[in-house]
Amino acid sequence: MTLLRLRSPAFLVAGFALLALAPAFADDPPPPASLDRFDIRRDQLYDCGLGYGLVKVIVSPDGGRAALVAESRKQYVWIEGVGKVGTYQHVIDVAFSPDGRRYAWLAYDDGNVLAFVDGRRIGKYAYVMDEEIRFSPDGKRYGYIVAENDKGFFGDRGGVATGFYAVIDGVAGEPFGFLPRDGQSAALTFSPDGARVVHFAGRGDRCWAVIDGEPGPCFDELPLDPVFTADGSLCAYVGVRDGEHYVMVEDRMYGPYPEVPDLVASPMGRDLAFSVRGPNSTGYMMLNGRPQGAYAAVRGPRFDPAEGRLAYWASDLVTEKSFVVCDSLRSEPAYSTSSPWFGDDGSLFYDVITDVSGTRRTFHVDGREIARGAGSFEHRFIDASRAGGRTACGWTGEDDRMHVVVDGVEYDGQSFCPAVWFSPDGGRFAFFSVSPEGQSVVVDGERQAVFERIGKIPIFSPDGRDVAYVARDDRKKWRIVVNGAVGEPLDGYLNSGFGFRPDGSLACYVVDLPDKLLRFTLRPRP
Amino acid sequence: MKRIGSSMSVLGMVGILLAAIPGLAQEPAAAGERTPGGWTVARELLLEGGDEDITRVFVCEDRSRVAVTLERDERTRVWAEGLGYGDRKRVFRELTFSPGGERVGWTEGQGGDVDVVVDGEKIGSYGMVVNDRVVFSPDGRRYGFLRADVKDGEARNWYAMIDGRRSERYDNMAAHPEAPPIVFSPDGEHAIYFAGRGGRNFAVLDGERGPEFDGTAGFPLFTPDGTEVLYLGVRDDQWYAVVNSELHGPFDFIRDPAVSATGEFAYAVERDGRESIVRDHEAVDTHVVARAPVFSPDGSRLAYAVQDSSHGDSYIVCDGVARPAAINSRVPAFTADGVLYWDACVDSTGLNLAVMIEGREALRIGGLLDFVHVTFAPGGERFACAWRADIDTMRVVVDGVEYSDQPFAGPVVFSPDGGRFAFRTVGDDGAGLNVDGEYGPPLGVFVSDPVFSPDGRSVACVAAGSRGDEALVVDGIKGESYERIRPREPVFEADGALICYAVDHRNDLYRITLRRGNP
Repeated sequence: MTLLRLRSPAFLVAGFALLALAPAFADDPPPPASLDRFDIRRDQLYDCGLGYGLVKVIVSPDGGRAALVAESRKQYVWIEGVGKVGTYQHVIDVAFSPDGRRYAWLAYDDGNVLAFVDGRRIGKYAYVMDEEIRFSPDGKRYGYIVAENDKGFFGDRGGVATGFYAVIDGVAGEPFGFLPRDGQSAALTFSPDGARVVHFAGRGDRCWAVIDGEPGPCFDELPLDPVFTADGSLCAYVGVRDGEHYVMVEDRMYGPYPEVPDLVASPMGRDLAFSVRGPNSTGYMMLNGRPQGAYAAVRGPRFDPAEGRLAYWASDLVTEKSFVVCDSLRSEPAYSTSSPWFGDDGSLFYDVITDVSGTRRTFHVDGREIARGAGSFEHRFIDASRAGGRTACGWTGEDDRMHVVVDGVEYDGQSFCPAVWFSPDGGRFAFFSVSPEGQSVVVDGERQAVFERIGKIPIFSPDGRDVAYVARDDRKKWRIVVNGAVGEPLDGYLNSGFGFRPDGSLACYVVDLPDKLLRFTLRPRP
Repeated sequence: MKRIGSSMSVLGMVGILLAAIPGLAQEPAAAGERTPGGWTVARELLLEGGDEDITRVFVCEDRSRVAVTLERDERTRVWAEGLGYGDRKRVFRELTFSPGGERVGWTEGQGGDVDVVVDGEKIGSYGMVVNDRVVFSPDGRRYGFLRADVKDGEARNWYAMIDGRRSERYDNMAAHPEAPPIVFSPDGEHAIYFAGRGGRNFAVLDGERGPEFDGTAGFPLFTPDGTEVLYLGVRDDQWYAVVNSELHGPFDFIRDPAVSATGEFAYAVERDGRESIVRDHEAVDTHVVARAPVFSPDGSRLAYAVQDSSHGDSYIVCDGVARPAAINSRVPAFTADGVLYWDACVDSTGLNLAVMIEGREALRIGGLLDFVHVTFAPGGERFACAWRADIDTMRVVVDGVEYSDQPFAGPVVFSPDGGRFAFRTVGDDGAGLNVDGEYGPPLGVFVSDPVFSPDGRSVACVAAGSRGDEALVVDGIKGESYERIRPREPVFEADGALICYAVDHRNDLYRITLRRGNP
């Protein structure tokens, strides 16, 4: 049985939270033509007009295309390059394929949920799980899970589905009784190459995976999300039967094992890893069906996104000390070592508690200690740029203030800082800092202007020359900030779609309330 | 609640279908015909599910009675054998049989309050029921549950309900996750639960509050005769063992309480940085580490694990004798016949273990060791061990003879007379059984652990196919496939019959009884 509730229109408005609500003044001076070394081009994409106001703006994952939902007494969808495509009682969701070429929406009208893909109506349902039509990573395929109820739409009343089925590329699959892991993970998952798709299904007290339409063996429980290898050739998931855990890789069953708490696929190739937890001080890591070493305990397999290395946490039987294993090499055993993780560039991160009280830690990048500190460590992070060999970390200290260390140099004075970002060449760095005076961005160690709020985290241009972010001033107006120069006041902007393009231009979708959507393109002068 | 009379009336209505297990679909046996396997199958249709899905099947401990939940159109109802159908409700929560199956209780509701139903009668509707669970005494005569009012999303005004009578009001109640919310003594005469009021916490035994603490801990342990009960209380960071209302302590910490068949208590305590084993409330042995006391089944022996430095060698102590040192000795255990055994790491890798029986190294095993199953035949003389040696190989040793190199095997099950053994295996071509050292054919994707008949002549299991269909397998002969068979691990009755319950694809529920010979 599954309890379903439709997101209310109020929630959709909340999704638009970064938009300030104050209207522009009619006698505002004409906007400037440039900002720092950038010329600004403003394209008005759409004016809702006729008493309609913007409710939601959606930007394609590649940042190249936008859609919006406008509302008066009813709601309609407008999609860039297509136009206004339909008016409904309520628009549930609009989605683009990753490359922005394809589009889909879900709307509620006349007691049903209507699903459209590329402008074509695919079906009319009681409910669509996750309230989302999902495209494959290559954009060629789409799918969703339908929940049935013989009384029609029931989402806004809260209700129980009487049956489910998958719709993949417009074709309905076999019905099933309940959706395992509902609310815990996506209802269906495409392989990275888009060629394959998996979802879980259940009936009575049993559940199974459906891979490319074929049901697998029945289990009592499916405790983890299914994964595809990067090349899409292998689909793996964990099933539990009579308390024993099995790992299914395509049709091959591995196990049983006492417990498999995690299962991950490498972001490259066809590597799969999972850890096995024994009942009595025994655990081991499995990589591609082979054990990688047995310890008192293991956990947290992680793959390096750059090179595909496997790292995990392990502990020693006798000393009970813990360490990180990467490429079969162990870090120094310590009183307590965190689970490892990788940065986007493949740097290996972990930290180590060095005393019994837990108030002292060391921070490590690729096995090298980069800093040591004391405090509560309520917040902590590690970042690095392999290009340029630079490192950074931060932690909540004994004074409840955040200590930020970049290449061994400490920058204090902030109550909160979530991360340090390096330019692509590693030559520059920036971080977001919260202090009693307000919020600001520190670039290369220099604190820039203080704002009421920083909206978009700082980003560097591909050549590292320029840095941009978005901040809100005391009048609740948003401002694009480029290289410290503060732009014109804006009613709102979209976090998605704000970024530098490969040619060094900066794009930002801007909202002119109550009814206009614009795209700003800032091109650098030579 | 609509009653439909006894199960016999249902049985009389639909009749009894008799069929043989082997080749049932191809070659149905006439009623009373003795099958090649020597077993006759009686199949009683208990319930026709029709357009309702049978979602869960509950079988009582002695397999004499069954209940199911049926679901259709957002509503679930309970059907219990001998009671018939309950009301259709939006939410079903949990169902419990008394151990002998005489009584049944469940919780359900429309999404808000929780309704408690016992033997088909609605007892009441409450804001919350702890663990959604009705508890029965071992003899089934008594029942109880803990409940609270819920206001503004917050539980308040807690009460115990025992045999339909409400206790005094409490501010809070606590239940150990591994114990029933109310614990009845083995004879059902006494009942105890944990509650709190005015910032103080206490146990309530037969309606009388015990000593007050900052918190209560563990779960209550009754002596077999029910005259004494042990639980733990914490006051000012000091731990006390409480027997009925008498305090023993204080200690810095108390763990691993145990009770013997003769009514003795033992537990492990910490005081001033050292740990002791306490027996009959007297410290009997003190070390740096002293834990996991366990009594032999007859209560005559006490064993426990000790260590003389935090990372040093460990020992198992029994009958006052410290058994050989090991890097890390695991918790000791006794067989049903009172034989002491444990396994011990013999090096710091954790990849090599010695199986120790009465202090003697009986077997040395090595490998991944995430699965290690040691089993003993009745009498305690024969033993078997199954363990994962490497990822492709489970090893099984019975009386020193090794039998398996399958990717998975074990645990070994002995026949009641100890003369035979069997274990399940999983190989590349599926799951099956090894009986007396002989591998059988693959029976499905999964098989349950095997079980022997009381005379040891027959062995049974449940096998599941790739689409989830399940079939009973007796002496290697596979019966008809059903959507589900419960219990999934079959059990032979004392008279040699085997009773299980099956749901077919039309949502019909059957009781299947196998008896050797003609009906």
